Amino acid sequence: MSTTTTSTGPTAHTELPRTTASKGALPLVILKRTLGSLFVLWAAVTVAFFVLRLVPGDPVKVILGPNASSPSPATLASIREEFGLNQPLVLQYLDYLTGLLQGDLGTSYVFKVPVLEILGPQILPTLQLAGLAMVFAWAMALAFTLLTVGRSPVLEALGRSVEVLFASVPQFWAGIVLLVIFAVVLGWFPVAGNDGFAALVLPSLALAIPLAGFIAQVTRTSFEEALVQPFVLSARARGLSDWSVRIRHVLRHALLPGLTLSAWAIGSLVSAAVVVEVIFARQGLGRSLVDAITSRDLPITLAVVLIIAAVYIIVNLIVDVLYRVVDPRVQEEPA
Amino acid sequence: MSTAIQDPAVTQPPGPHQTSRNRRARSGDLARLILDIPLGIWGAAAVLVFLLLAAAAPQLFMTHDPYAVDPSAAFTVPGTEHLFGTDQNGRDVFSRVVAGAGQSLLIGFTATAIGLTLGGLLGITAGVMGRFVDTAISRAVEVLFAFPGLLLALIVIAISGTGVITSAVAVGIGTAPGYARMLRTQTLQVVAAPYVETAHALGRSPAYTLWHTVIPNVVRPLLVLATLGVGQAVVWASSLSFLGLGAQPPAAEWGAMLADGRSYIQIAWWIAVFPGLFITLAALTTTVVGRYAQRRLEGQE
Amino acid sequence: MSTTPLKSDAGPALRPAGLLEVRDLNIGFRSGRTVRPVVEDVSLALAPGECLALVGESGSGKSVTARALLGLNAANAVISAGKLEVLGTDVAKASERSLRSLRGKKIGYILQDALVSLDPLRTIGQEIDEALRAHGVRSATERAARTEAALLEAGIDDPQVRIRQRSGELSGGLRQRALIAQATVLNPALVIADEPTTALDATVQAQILTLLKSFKDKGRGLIIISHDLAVVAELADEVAVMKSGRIVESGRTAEVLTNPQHAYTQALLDAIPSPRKTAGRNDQPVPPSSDTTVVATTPDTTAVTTAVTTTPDTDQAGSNITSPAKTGQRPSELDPNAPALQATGLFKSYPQPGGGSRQVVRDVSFTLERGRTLGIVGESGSGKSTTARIALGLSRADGGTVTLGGLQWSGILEKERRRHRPDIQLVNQDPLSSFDPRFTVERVLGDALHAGGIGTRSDRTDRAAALLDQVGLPRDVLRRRPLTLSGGQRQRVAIARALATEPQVLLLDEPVSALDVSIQAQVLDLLEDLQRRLGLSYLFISHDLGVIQQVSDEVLVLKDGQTVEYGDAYDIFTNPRHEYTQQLLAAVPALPQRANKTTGGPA
Repeated sequence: MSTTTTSTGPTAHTELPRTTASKGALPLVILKRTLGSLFVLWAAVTVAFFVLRLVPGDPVKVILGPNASSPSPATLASIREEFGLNQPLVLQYLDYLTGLLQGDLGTSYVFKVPVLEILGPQILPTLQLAGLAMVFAWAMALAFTLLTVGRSPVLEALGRSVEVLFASVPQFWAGIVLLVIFAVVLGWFPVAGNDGFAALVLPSLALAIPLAGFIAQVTRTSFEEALVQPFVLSARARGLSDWSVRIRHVLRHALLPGLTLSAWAIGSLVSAAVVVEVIFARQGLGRSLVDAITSRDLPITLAVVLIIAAVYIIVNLIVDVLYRVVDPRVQEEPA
Repeated sequence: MSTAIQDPAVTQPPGPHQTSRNRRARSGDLARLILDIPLGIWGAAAVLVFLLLAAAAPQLFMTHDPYAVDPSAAFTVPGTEHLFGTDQNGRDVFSRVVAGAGQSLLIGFTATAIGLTLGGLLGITAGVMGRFVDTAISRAVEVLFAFPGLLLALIVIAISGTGVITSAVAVGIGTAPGYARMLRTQTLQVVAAPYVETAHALGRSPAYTLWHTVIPNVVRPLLVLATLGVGQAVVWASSLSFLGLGAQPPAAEWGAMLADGRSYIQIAWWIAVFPGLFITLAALTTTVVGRYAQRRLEGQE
Repeated sequence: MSTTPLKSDAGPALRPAGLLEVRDLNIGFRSGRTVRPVVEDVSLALAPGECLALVGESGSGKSVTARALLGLNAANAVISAGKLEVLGTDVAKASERSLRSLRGKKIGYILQDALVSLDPLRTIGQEIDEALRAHGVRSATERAARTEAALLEAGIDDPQVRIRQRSGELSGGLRQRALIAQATVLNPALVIADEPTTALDATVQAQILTLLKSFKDKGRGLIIISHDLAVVAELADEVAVMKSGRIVESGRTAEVLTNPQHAYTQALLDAIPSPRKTAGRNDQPVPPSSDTTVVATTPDTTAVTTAVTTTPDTDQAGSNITSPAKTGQRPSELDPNAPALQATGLFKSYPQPGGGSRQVVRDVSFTLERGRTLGIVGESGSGKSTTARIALGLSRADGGTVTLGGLQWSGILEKERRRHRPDIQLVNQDPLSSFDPRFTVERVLGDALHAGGIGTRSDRTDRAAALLDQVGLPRDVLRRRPLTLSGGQRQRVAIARALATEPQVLLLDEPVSALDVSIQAQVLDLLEDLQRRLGLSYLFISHDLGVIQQVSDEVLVLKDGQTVEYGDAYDIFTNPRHEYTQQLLAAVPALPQRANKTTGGPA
């Protein structure tokens, strides 16, 4: 904008994407970040534990089930004793923390079995779903970016429109439309279920479509920014072809913010899996969560919340470290 | 000095990057302003106006009573009589979609207002109160981020139970951490901006600068942010309804209708597809119009 | 303008020789259905071992022309030429593939700022290696050897260390050398350098120019693009001056610079800051009216200024605007007999991220007398900006005192300082960011008037308009937003705002560094004129010795936070005692003396 011909410092155009990652030597940073993550995890457990105690109604009624008719005070007391509900809240919290450290997530109010026994088999399908969705989303986003950014105006406009459209599509509607087209009309994939890879494709696509829109919008912006940077011109002037400049120079810059976004996205994918698992009648954490909320099964609700929070925190930690590998600038002081 | 040289912007055509922006700035008149708006934005705005009209006065568009059950007309294929077909109870899907606009959009707006208010309070406080408060709030927001996406909203639902109002509150709270983070960044940027230092150098007190310079500049982009947020809130709220945690059937709410239609997907796709289409349209048009407004706002200032 | 094509046709730049032949090059940019011309009828030629300079201000089309030689213009560029032949290749018609074999191998292209012109994520070694690889050097050992050789040739002594570093880890000079190495590793016959020294400190600039000069001795052709005639004078055999996409004058460098024919070239040369010819500016009689100076820069000012001073109902406002220091509406408590600004023994250090602290200002003292200009000059990192912030009371010094007009200014509560803030105002390099983005110019100025407690709500518009008159801007600027103004206009608005509170001291922090040279000259003239009329005292900070030399009565030379030399400007510039000052002065590119120098007046 300004008519800058002279500038006093090298700060004229360094608006390249940067991360929020912390500075310093690598092992120290990993240690710091791990401690920080543990703190967040502990805080999340604590918040979730106490907040979910605010759920109205007596847990004992949930434990007894809807069919129980006025139980005797003795029964109530023994149930309270059994589930540790007779203790003060703080003690219950400490008990829960201790159990958590030993891998014990409590006992389900509804099913009366250890929570892990119920949730254990649900974790893998959800992670598979979210993982494949992430792969699909990145594949689509990269294809959009590499094929349409900085191309002809028509291609640009097309890429842009498709991205906005994708980003606006709710997962459950994407799921329904995919279901109608590929399962009902074309019959290529099963309508519902958990069996094998084929059953995984449509649900993960449903999750991937809006995410692809988001990632592609972010990568497009940073790709566009990187594309007009002087180092791109330098590389072209060195005799590189358009494609090698895009892939070797520009793409790396464009991926950085997308990477940060992905860390956030894994968390929201796992929680958005709720909807998709219901549509495709799949097993998974999401369905367990919705069922648990509806039936007021507190230990399961809490456990699912914690698992998702843990996944989110761990993925963020990994991405933060990974970022430093992709962008070595984070480690160094500006010259 | 010679008069041969003058300020380039006065005598020379603008450089390649500034053409459109300068042209826009110079053409103050409304006609040019309107001509500048691309066709796609017009389309999005038209759909948005339709949705808002449908929300305000559904009777304008409804062809049938959205709650009138007629088993003999169940599962009618979309056609001239029933634009979007009928559902398992013979209710007209189009009329139900129109009737649902009000509730869906109202939840969307309410949720966005709640989210922006909470997030704004947290974010701006963190941004202006200095290190200690900032650290405390930022940590708290970080912890909330560990309940990503719908999860925070689901926790609120778990506590407060299902329903239309609680789902609006839940979505509002669910989006608040995002807004808080965004507004904190925005606030920090404004606080560090040279024009705030200029106010300082002019002899303004910190309190004066806060109210007359910092807060107005932080709040300025909020309207656009809200427009963008409504679409997202509509999607989240309908997700909750879809899961049976928001509006309950037989209410004509888009998410609930979609959940209803899921069971009949193999025999009557239209029951689920059309409500979903409208959720998408609501999200898409608010995004497109909001983004455009954002670009215009930034371009002019 | 009409004589120009003739002259350039006949000029020596068109001798049909070796490396390059460009005739009637036209470039336009398509937007929608219209094509906007940016380069028109440009003709160039270059012989091996010679240097051609394209000189012009921003928007003159010089960079666009250079890129056309490599076929690297934007996709919406429309190019036509009578002839566009570079090293035997018809660039206008050549395929992308044959252009690629030209780029890097036969033409080396060097951009302005190496921090962003080298990929910040990759090492220097990777960048140079890539050039070799792209041109089919298969053997890795050969590539490594040639990379090292190229770095050595570019004057980098420890290539083994540098190849592993990224541009962000290097100093400005090394970085620029690395950029040159990646462009010349394949020993191209033609090197195009686009503002190769612009972002560099003067001493580093001199080194880079020497390096570029050595290319000529190796028989390479060199095209240098610059806004700075002085830089060009050192290096170029031929000069082509561009304005609005056309070559207005070209010829042998010595001839063009000493005997410029075209009015624009003369104006450009006149605009270059030049030292005062006598000691102590205040010895010169102050002209009673400075109308001539102001008229030359901004034609509509005289009328307005007169109107302000003679219109009866704004009489008071008018007179106090003309001389705020004396009859200001805002009462000032500054002592008129004390120095305007005085600093004694300033110290400042900043904590380092890795622990410890870095001393940025060490025992700096100065006195700014009333109505005079103290220039503070230094290269990046010299502590000049920190000194300025302390002087302004925006940053607290670790030690030392500052007084403003005899009043204690440092070490007091901000509450007490606030009352006197209107007396000292700031103008900085990037005015745009100093304007509240919501405000029009009218509100910017009205806000400053309000802050200074000047005027009433109803007369602020008039006062704002009067301020614009003072800085030579038309009144319709009031309704505009700063973003829609040009760089020079913005800087004038920033000056008007600084004047709004009727200050006695202005702190000017690189006020003209971001401006084209002609605009720079206008703003400097304006500042000088304002100083004379309003009796202002200036603390003028710049990295540019030429500018400092032109404006200053006294000069303070800073290096690494320490005073190197301090005293009368004329003395220091004619007889620098410290070695560093001598180095600085030696590094300033000099222009040859002109035969027919015109000193102002419409050409």
